[in-house]
Amino acid sequence: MNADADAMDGGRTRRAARLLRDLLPYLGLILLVAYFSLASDFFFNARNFERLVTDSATLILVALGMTLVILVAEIDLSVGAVVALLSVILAQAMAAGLPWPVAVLLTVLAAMAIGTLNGVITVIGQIPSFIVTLGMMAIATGLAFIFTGAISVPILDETFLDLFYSVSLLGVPVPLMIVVVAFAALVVMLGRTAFGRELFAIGANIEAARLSGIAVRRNKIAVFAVMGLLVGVGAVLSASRLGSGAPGSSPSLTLDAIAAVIIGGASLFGGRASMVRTLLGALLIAVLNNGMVLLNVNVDSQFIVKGLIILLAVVLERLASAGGR
Amino acid sequence: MGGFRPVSVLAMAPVLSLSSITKRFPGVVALDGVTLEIEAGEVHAVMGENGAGKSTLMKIAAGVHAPDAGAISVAGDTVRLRDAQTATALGIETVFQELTVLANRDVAQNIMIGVEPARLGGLMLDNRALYAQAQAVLDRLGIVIDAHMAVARLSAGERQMVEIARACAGTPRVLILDEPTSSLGRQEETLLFALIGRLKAAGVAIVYITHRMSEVFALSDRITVLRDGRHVVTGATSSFTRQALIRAMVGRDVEDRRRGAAIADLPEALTVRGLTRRGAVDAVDLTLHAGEVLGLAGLMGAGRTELARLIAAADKSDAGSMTLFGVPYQPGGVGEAIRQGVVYVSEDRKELGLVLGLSVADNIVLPGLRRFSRGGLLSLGAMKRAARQWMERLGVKAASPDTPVSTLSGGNQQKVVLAKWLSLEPRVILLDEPTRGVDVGAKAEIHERIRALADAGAAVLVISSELPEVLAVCDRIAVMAQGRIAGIVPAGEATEESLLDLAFAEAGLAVA
Repeated sequence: MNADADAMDGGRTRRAARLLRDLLPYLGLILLVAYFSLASDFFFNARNFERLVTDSATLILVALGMTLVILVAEIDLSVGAVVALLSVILAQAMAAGLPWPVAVLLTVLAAMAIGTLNGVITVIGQIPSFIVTLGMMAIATGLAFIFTGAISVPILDETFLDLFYSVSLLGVPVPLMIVVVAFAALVVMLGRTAFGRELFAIGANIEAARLSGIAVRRNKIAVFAVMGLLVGVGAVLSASRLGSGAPGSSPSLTLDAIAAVIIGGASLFGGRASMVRTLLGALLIAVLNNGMVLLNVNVDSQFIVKGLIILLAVVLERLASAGGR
Repeated sequence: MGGFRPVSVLAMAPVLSLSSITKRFPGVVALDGVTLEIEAGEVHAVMGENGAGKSTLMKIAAGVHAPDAGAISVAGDTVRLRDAQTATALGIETVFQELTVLANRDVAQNIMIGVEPARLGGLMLDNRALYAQAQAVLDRLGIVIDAHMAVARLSAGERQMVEIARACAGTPRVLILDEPTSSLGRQEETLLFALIGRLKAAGVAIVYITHRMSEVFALSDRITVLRDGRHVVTGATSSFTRQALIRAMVGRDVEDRRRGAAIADLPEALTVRGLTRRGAVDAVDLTLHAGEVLGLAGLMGAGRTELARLIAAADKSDAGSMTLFGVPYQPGGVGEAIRQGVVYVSEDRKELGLVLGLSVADNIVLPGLRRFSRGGLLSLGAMKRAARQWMERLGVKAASPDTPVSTLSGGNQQKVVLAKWLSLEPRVILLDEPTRGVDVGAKAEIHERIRALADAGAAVLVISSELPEVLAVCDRIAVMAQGRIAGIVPAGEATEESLLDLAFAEAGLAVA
């Protein structure tokens, strides 16, 4: 009996880690909401929750895209810098006199082009996406500063600002509406289309996927293109919220998006990820951001808290899958 | 010192004794009161179908699993194997079926793992001694591999030899070999058998698990058969016939089949002309008929797998042309080959054949996923029905289509691989070592399935390193050597010797 207990010990740690990993987004969200509700008088009310979600619409969209990228065992480190660059492009296009729908379309197309470029270089060049998107991050940051001379470009178009920030559609704020539609579309795509199902196989075993006749390279490039689309829409929402296109406007977006996916229990080695759990992870980060602002936690400390949560999630994920793969 | 050495072997305690071992896993009794006694200097074959409990028993002997009941003794002393280290310390070394070599280390680091020589009181690794000692182990065992070589560059067979070298780095009393030849080529196999002979002469007890009958009769002194977690029989190898052994394992008779059809009358399905991939396949001409099973025999590295991969467009060819039912066939990728009805079933089911993280159903429908798409959306119900239907057809034993494929036994995983490809109803099917690591019962079923495929009009190519298998299943046999076709013979006229002559003659090697 004793020997049995010894032998099972490794399994017990793994099972405990697996349980914790699976519960982390739920438990974390509940604990954080409970804590901030007690700690701040301004946290637990409908007005704040609505703000919380609309404020984090960009994060949620980018995190959902990042889920696909991480599912196929890639990563995109350029999203924060690209969102800033796109917001600059959007603001300058409007400042140059383009009507807002044209400027928005232009921005989203530029985003998809950048995403596709990331994918093409990664896949065709067989270069780790880690490096490719690190390069893209530097380029996007540089371009944003050059385009603007390091000064943010104000957006003056009232219709645009209203549409994306103040006006409600059927009583639902537009950013929330966009998040819901994107989320539903991605859940269906991942679970109910051949493309989505193939992504799991590609992430879990790329060579087996290739030998099963799956167009691995085309699918990966498509993932980066979809990521670009979500980054583009996220950038439009971000610009409308800030009322300007500012270089360096999303300093923690990349970190937050990756954190959301990891808190959602995805494997950084690919093959396991879930839109629902990423959404919970993103909400957890959103609550954290919102609550820490309400409690006047300074920005630098916020980074440390988020860093610790990422490390916790990664350690749990490793413990949970150690020996299991 | 002093005193009398016991004269009779029977009077000595077995070097390893497992008595009345019972082991339960959630939902199954893996072992039910199994007793196994291993004498010093014997080769003891443990046989049984997949799921018979061989692997579980060996894992208990290796200290990986703890038994729920029963006793273990080593050289007469009752011991408790708390973990694998305890077993190793007692001289029980195991080479598992799943290769556990570290691919990102070199050969010496793998062999000496856990017993690395140190300097400065254990602070520093003594690299010079590490390589010297590792090379000494390899030399002692007659394994021709450089200790500095990166494991990633070794073939599966060579990795197996490294694994055996690691087990022999200490001085084992009992060496457990779990299907050691399943990834070996013929030369390495010969080397391994010689190695086993030397270890045996040195008094090492060898527990040998295999599905290959010929090996058991050639190598072993005694045989123990397990079935469904129970001990069936233990006896001297000479007391068994092949049929009796199969009956003991399966609990019924299994017959070999062969047919001799007039191949030339069958329509040509696939013709290959001058197919070349530099360094692997050299101007191969081959014709595969609809309704025939063509065997592809040869030594490891002869280019058989490479040829099949070229036909399936898994790799790109440098020269040559192919036709499929008379039409030029130039697939740009695996997907296109599949759409034209040509599929390749890999020899490496864990790495290439299956996606272990996915369920049985997801694996089965994977290559044909897009066929279940209606207006962009997958019909999940149709997918599950198709998976269930193919599971039944091939007799895949799994709790449900949603069971993770990684939890299945080797034979069942191989059936899932077959289900995955047969569900596409291919016109040309290239099977690479379709029964590797599979027990006799499942093997017979797979052989029958292969024959049925051909009878239904498919063109089947079977790559196998087991000559009895090639002889039993195929209509014609092509032998490859050094990237070329050395000869093609009707199975009825071929013998193991004639096939080996072809394989070795072309390779410029003398037949031992």
